[in-house]
Amino acid sequence: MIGKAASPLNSCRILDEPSNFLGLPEIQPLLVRLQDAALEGRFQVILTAHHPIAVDLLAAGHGIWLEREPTGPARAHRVRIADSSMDDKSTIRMSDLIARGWVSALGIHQQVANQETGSTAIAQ
Amino acid sequence: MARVCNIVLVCEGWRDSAFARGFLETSGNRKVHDRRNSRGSGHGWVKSQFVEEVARLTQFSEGRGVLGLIDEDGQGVTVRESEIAGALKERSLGSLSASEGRCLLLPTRNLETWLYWLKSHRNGTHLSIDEATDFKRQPANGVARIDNQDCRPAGEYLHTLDHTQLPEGCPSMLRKGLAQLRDFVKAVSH
Repeated sequence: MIGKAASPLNSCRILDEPSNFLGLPEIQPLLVRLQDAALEGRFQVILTAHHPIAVDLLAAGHGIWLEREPTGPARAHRVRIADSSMDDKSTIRMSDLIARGWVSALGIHQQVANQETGSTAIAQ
Repeated sequence: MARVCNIVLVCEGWRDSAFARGFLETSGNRKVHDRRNSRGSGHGWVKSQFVEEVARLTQFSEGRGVLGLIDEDGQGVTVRESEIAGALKERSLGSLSASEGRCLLLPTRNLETWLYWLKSHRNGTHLSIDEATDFKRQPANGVARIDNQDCRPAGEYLHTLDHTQLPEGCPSMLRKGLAQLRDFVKAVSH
């Protein structure tokens, strides 16, 4: 449906948890189509996701991590590989790291620390 | 009925995936499971995952083929092939053989070499291209830089070419790659 809908240039799809209610075999094909459309410049896509398939497919290249302390503002951090142990030989999935709360390798805590000390904000 | 993927595609990034899917989908193979290194390029990752996926072919009857793409990157085709062949042999997984569903494409020097050549032929400009220059970093002379939008159409266009009668000047590894892809598609269709 998403791929066939009219897609004027400069339009944007915003999808909240697109993997919800989909069978497991259908999730990757949908996400791949959305990524194709975005990278080929057909339309922009903003999606929120917690599903491991989405995280493993998209987070390293396109992820923005949102987090909020109970009384603080929400903060957005670009997900990036900041740990040399996450090189191309590493087999641990990004979704596994997030499930364990081991997000330091994704550069997120470093960005928070930098923001708190007033130094560099989110790396671009 | 549940979607059953017969082909696993293992590659370095989105561009390789889009190119390969362009070819496979045009040849009627839409049920492709995409395994790419979302952390960016990494031939080490592709090598290890390619071997893992070949092992899974022997474990699970639904899988019919594994297609891998790794840029040659000036390392030498023989070196790249023997690295993977060695890893397969170590695990008693047979040899590389497109006609048996274990297909490794080695764009030389990299995928952009193929993309420039295919794009120019599709447009009728017939660019002459070598397999030593790193076109990922340096665009081909007088031609617009390859864009994401060029990847899938290049794969689709490749499917329209006859591997036995490719035009003069076709990069040698693309010539070999197309023949391998024909064998691979035949193997996974059975």
